[in-house]
Amino acid sequence: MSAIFTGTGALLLRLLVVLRVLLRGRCDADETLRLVDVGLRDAAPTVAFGSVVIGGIVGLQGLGYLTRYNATEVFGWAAALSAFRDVGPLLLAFAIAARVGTKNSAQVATLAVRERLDALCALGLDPHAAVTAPRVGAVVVVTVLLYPLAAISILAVGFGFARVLGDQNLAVSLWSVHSYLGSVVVVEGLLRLALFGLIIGLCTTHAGLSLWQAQPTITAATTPRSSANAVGDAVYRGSVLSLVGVVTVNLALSLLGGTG
Amino acid sequence: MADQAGRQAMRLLGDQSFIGLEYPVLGVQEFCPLVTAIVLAQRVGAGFSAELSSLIADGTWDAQILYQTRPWQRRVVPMALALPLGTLVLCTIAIVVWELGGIAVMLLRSNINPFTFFHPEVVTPSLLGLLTAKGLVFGLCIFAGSVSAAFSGRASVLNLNTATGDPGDVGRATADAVVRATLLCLLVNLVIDVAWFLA
Repeated sequence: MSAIFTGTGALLLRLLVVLRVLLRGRCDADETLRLVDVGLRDAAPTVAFGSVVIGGIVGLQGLGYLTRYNATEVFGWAAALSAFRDVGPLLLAFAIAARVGTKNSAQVATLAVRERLDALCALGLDPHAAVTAPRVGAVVVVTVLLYPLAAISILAVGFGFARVLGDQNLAVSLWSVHSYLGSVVVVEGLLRLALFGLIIGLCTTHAGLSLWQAQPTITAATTPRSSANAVGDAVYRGSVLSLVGVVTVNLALSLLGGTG
Repeated sequence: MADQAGRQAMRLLGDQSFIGLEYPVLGVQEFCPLVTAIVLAQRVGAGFSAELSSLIADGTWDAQILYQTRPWQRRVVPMALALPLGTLVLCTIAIVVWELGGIAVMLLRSNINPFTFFHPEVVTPSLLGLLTAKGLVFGLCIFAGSVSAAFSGRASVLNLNTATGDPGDVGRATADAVVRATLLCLLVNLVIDVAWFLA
């Protein structure tokens, strides 16, 4: 239990550091843009592939209820709600944690064990302004920018599956979305995904940076194997941490959210 | 999921008492195996890939082959057997937790009688077969993703003749393992779902 409190406290402190850097306008904008560019190019194919598969799952799940309850009229709305707010953002956060988050952890941990963060300090640069804040910010921006692509792909594939496998009329599905889905659902989904992005960025960067704080232990045994193990361990911890964070926040948001 | 489904049902039909009947089916058929697999990919898959790629990066793997200690049989094959079985067991535990979580949330939020969730008859033998198939196949997907990611790092070390023990290789392999295993599980899940729907 104490480990949970310690970990949560450390993450909150990291968040405060990031916010302080952002509010003081000290975040390295060029580095943030570079990371957004790299993150988008890295994550877009994964998210596109993931969205197609998730769209298929959403469509098939909807088809199950469609055949059982003959709920043709509400299929489009239910699929859109899943795509934009419920299942879509959650599974997309998993995909982004897998692609962008793990890479983020690996890079920061490698910087730490190769003493590049110390080098930044020696050059008089703030590692939080040059590394931490740009990385957290970039993950959030990448997540938000990928949301439209992902949500629309999920919906289109879901409707396509329903049309091909369940003979669901496409016009009825679109009418259902238009009639029942409020714009607030899209905003909720976007905010939810942005929050997931913040958690992923924060957890994975924190996992990488934790090696920097534990560096005396690592450099004392400065064998390549200990460094390699430490990086692998950081990626692993960052991945698990972001997953737990996303699932917990999703539960809290679901309990607070509306019906759409 | 129970809360979201309940509120959607309330909005559409004005009744959420039937959620207890549908909820176990949704868990067994879709969410428990899939979410368990994604979590395992990030936890066990990443850990296993980090372990293998560390051995590869510092040359221990090649040394073990040289000394004929059979690293494949001692390290890889046991995981190939353990992951599918472990995934299946964890899927079963996940279903119990899923059901209890749904009961608790619906009782606290909407005062739904917990006994409406007690419908063992909806979990048919064919659904259990689907769960078993998904659990075993997802375990194999996680194994394939983590091993292929670890050994793709080995190929780059051998090709480029870089210094061994590069922490960057381990990080890349671990990250790749999570991506490969997650996407593989999602894809296989879709294929099984389509086959199930058509059957």
